[in-house]
Amino acid sequence: MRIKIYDKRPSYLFKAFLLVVAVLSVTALQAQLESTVFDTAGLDSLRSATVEVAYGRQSYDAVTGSMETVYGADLLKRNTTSFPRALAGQLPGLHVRNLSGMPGADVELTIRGYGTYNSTMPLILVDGFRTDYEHLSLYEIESVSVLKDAAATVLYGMEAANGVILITTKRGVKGPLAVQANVQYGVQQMTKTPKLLNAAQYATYYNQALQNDGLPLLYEPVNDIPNYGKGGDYRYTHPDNDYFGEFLRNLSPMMNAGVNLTGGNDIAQYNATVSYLGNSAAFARAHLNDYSTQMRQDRVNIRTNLDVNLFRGFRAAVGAAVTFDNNNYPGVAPSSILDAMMSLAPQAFPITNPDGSYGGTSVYRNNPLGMISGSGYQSSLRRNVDVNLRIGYDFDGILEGLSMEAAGAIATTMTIWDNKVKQFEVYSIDDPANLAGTTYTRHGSETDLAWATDVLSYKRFSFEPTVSYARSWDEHSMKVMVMGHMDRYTQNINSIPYNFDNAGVGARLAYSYDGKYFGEFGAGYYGQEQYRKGNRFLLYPSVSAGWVISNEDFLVNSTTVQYLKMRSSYGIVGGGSGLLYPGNTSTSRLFYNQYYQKAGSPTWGENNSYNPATASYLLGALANPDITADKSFKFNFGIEGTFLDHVDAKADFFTSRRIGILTSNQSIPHTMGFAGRSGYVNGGEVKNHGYEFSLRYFGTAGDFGYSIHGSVSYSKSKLVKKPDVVPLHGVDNRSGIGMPVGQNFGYRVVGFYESDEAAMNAKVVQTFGPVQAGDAIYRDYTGDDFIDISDMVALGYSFLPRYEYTVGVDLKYKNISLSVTGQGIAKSSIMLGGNVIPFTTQGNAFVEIVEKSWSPDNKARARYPRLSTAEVVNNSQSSSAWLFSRDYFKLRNVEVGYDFSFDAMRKIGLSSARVYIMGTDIFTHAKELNILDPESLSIYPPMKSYSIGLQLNF
Amino acid sequence: MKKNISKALTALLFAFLAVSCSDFFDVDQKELIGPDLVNNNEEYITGLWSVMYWCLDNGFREVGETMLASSCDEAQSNVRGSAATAFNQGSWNSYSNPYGRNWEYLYQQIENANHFLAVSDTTKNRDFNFFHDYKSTPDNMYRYNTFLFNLKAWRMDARFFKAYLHFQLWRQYGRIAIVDRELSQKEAQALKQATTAEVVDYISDLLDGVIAEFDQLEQMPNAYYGGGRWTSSDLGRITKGAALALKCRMLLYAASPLNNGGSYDAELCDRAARTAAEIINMGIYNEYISYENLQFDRSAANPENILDNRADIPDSNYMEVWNYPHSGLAEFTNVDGLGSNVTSPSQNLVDAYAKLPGYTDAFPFGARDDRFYSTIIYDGRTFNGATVESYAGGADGINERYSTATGYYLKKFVAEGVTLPVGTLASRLWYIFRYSEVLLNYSEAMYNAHGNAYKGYINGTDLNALDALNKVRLRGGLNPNNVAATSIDNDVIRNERQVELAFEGHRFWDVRRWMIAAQTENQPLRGMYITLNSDGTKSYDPHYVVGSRTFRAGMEHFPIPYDEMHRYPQWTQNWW
Repeated sequence: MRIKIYDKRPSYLFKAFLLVVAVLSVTALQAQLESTVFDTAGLDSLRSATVEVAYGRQSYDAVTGSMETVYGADLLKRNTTSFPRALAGQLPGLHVRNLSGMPGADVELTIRGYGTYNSTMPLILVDGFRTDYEHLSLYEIESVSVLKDAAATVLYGMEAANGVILITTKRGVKGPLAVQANVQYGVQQMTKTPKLLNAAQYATYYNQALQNDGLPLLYEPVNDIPNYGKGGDYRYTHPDNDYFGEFLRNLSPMMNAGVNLTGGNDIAQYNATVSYLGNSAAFARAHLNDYSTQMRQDRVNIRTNLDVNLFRGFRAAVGAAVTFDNNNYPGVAPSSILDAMMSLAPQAFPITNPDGSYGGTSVYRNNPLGMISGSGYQSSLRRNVDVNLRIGYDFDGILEGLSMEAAGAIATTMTIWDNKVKQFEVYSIDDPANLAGTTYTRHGSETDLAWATDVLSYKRFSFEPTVSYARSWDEHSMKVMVMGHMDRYTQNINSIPYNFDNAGVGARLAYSYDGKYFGEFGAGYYGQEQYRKGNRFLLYPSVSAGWVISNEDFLVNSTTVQYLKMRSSYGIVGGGSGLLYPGNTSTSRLFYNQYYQKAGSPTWGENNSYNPATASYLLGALANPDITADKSFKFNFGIEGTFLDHVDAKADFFTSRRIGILTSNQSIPHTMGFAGRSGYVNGGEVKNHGYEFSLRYFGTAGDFGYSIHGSVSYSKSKLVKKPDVVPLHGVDNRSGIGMPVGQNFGYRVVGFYESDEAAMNAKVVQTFGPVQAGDAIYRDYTGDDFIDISDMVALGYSFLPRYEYTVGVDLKYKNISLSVTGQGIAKSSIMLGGNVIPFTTQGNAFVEIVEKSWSPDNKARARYPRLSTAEVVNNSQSSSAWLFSRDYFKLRNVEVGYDFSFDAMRKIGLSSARVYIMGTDIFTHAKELNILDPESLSIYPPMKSYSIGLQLNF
Repeated sequence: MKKNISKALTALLFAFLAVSCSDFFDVDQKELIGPDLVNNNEEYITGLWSVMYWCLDNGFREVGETMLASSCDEAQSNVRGSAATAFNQGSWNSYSNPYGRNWEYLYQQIENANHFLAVSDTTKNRDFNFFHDYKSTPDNMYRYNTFLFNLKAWRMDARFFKAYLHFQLWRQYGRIAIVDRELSQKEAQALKQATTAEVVDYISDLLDGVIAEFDQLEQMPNAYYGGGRWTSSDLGRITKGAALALKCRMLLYAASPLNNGGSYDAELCDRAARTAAEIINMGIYNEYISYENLQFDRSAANPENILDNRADIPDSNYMEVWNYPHSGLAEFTNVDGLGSNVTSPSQNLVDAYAKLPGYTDAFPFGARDDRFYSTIIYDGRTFNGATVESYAGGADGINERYSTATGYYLKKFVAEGVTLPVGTLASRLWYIFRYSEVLLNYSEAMYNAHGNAYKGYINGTDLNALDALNKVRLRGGLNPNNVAATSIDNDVIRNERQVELAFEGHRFWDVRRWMIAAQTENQPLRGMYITLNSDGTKSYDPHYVVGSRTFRAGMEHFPIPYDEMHRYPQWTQNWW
């Protein structure tokens, strides 16, 4: 049984995986929860399972907070190189943004839009503990839940205001050993490569820019420009480099593989997952040395979870996880290589000279080939070790229903950089007319590989005891739980350790009557070290209630309504996590104490040889002893139900009001001398409201099963107060007060000057600098014949989308299944600048922008101002010309699978198997933003992938 | 066993509660520098003092990366969209003002000085006692005495800087608030705008105190300040001469038309003249250094140097990179984008250089005031081993890529023969005060107080306004071709100042205090357009317009920043 799955690195791991597969014995496939259902029985099984909530589990009916859950099986429908990417569009209310397609790149997670103008990063827990989650493997995850409202998150107190994400790893299931093996092999491709000018276009348009600037032309139109891209010796005299085409491979391989073992008896249950991720990035020509300079990631995750019930009343759970994450990069940071590819003119130099050396000039020494293959390599090994232990004991002997649990976890991460980096030299051709006999001038000098190392480590210790007491009598049922939490996070970068401490206690009182009425009260009392004693601890309460109407007598046998529940909550949670503070660094994190900051020391003397002090000092940010955590008042109302055996619907409405948002204190007059170091104040306020609505239509017809689903999430915020802005009274209040958080502002472009005379004689004076033909004309909203900052108006929307929607279809016919999910956003804007404005940063330009720029021959179709070789301050202002809608729709996954099982298979121990092909992120439609991927806005866009996979169940 | 487990769990719970309530939140502050540390450690006190020296002007990068010269009629910045554009176009206002050392910055620096004075006040700061320990052993008495000396000098520095910073604030904004000590937010919010008279009194009182104490300083044990000078290893620190020069400049500004309804105030002029005389009478400064050398001589022997910004102007070559013409020998030009930030001297300025006997319009660069040749690089001049060609189409031609915008290149403060890009560095000075300015201040103040009379203010040979001016013009024979002025009026004085102090950051403010900016800054900036004729001769057009200039009424002062006015609704704004 030899399957060639992965090209160069068949790897010990895959062989080991095959060995494990071969050795193991036959068992039944374990039941897996999956959000995709085709009948009400599927829904019932979801609703009858208990749900992971804050500090415990609850029955589905008893949940009175707002939450969404997705199960591991649904995540496996996508082949992603990072687990959080698989969450995109799966959980209404959770927005997932891919930041880049680079191996190891992160995502940005936001729950319910802008609850604040500071960081919206939620609290993310793995098996109840704060730890690193980005490097989890898809295979070790049982479920991911998003806790959205106050009731669901109040026990996390001071860290809960941005919402909470609970990640639960797979635990053992009673029964004989069950083994599931998955392997997915895929190829990745960039969703969007920037379309830049080729050399002839560049020369033509650069000339146009020079002409616009009144400068002499640089490229001779008749004798020079046509020679670009001709090939032959012109490759050296008139290079035409397509850096993206040349240095990025069209396809790069990736592989996800994992084996999961589970089983156990009444005393012990175990689960073990071993998984591997291989992700090779897209650089071409990275194998020119005896070491690889390719950017690639190899990751192995090993996790074991063991649950033991040694004797009656005593239970213990041990979890241990190790991650080895090995990354390789070229010696020059990949982002710098991409920047060079973006910023080099296509004819800057030949990539290689006739004699084989790297091309370059005295100014342009950043030859991409040299950067990829001639700069050595960097290699990092990241090791995560997470261990958690949970022991519990039921004190039934003392008091029926009383139990106590203590849990602790240690999470450590250490990244070791092992770099061998060198400089490379580039050569310019001295005599382009005589390529055969030319000499070369060297620029820069090659060095030997220089070894350097660096270590970065974090550790976190957590401890959480809980005591709970549960009782039921008649129709009443009650549960009280008291918990404590403390964690210390220690960061150690280059040997400067510092701690973040967080501690609190909390309680939850849940009551239900007859399985119909549920009420819950929760409270958290939390503190962090960022606050002075006295301000340190704050109380966070919440109340919530639920009513399972379908359990009422009048509905219990209804064929119209199979399930119906209403719930609502109100509470206060805190947004105080110091790690998310603006300006938080090792030396600026305690805003309540006054400290000094260091500055360079001046020197004196005839030759400046005398230095009076080793350093100079001045007061740092002004202390504010009253600093405390901000607060979010959250209301939620939800209703969900199943109707007519075919329809499942869920709706949540929410409002939140965040007060005391930590903001730099601009109310202090500058005369006090603290401009730029005025410290912080709890002065901001943001209101937010919105809804999530999801609907599923499902059913079966013989062997055919179908499920069509969709969801819409909406949130709209309002900035009520922000103490670091001054109201600017133009037409719009440019401070953004009263508008959504992150609202874009700019000037409204109404046209472009027809001629220099028109620009010179314009009645309305634009105050940014000289103007000429082709420069942007802005609308004078104030009517004072001056364009200045008071003419800025709100343009477009904020960065985070106001709407997010998903649509999906799951079909099943006998053994064949099809699953398709799409996700999109609407009402989201971005103001672009920098290298999007052609030539101004001395680089190449986007074809689309250049072609739509104003020129004397292109007055009518112009969307952008004239080209220039330097920044034209008038034109580079934030304006409607540079504002783009980020709206997009992406096909997140398409999967076709075939399940099979036949006698011959069973003889070798296989119970069932599944083959599937899948596409991840394979299609993107952008409403307006076509030059970059609208989701990431990175020149290294997220990857789409096409994969084949095999799942074997033993 | 079950019992043991329950006991263990209970114990754990109590342990948790005990730990979390006691020292769990003992905050680790070891990377943080707190007041306890600073108040009791000589090194930190030294650091709180030395940081103040960064507030001295660096005129090479005053408006963005340009010299202030490019924001007035002295020059054109060749960087399109440079910060100077806003001044030239009149597009600066209370929201956006490209001047770097602005309201926010200056009050920050004032706070640094006030904070140092508060911390170093031995009468009030009870914790500040480490230096008393120095007395404990006789060996440490030297250290004790040195520290006492330093502390006195440092506190004088702080008061000087407060005067210097308030002067700058007042020069820029006119209506300022005086901040003489550290303020709480409430106190800051209650500040009122001071009148010009109040500002003048405040600054002169501060400086008078400092000036008097310099004489005491010389008498202290372990003094390394004597005869009005620091030992050469401390060259660059504040001296009595610097305090007097600041007072003199401030009084002259106060006496000027801008602050007196359009004409000079004779009494303030007299005070300014007498302050200048005090400096002259010190006898330690003179003008006997060539106009070329005074731009580069950082030694203690430079007799012009009263105070220069030493800390922020180390040896460098950015002025050369920015300003060298292209035509020089290869080793001087091996930089792409050479001259891309060129400060192109204007024809407006060149017109101010006197035409000496023998001058002819056929070659307008011959027979000019000697200082012209140390200030301006012009077409036909030899520089860096080659002949500069700034005629249209020449190697350094006007309006070529990375070339001059006016037909001239900057010579002043630009050292010849610096190998680029990596080779040599050059020394240069940015003067805060130099002796010739004092002479010109004296001349202007004397003339507007007493005409051309002698008043006996100068020890030995007395000077009248004309004598002082001619000392600058002739430089004791070091400007050999210059011709002494025979009569004096404000036009002569102002012309002399324009020439002598070109590119030293004075003109921008002088045209404002003289109230002539509405003319000088409201006319096109001109260059010299030179055409090479077919017969080899050159035609000179000194009326070539480089760019327009806009100056509106009220722009003599900067508007107070918009956001600050928002915090002081009762204050008076200068203009929008």
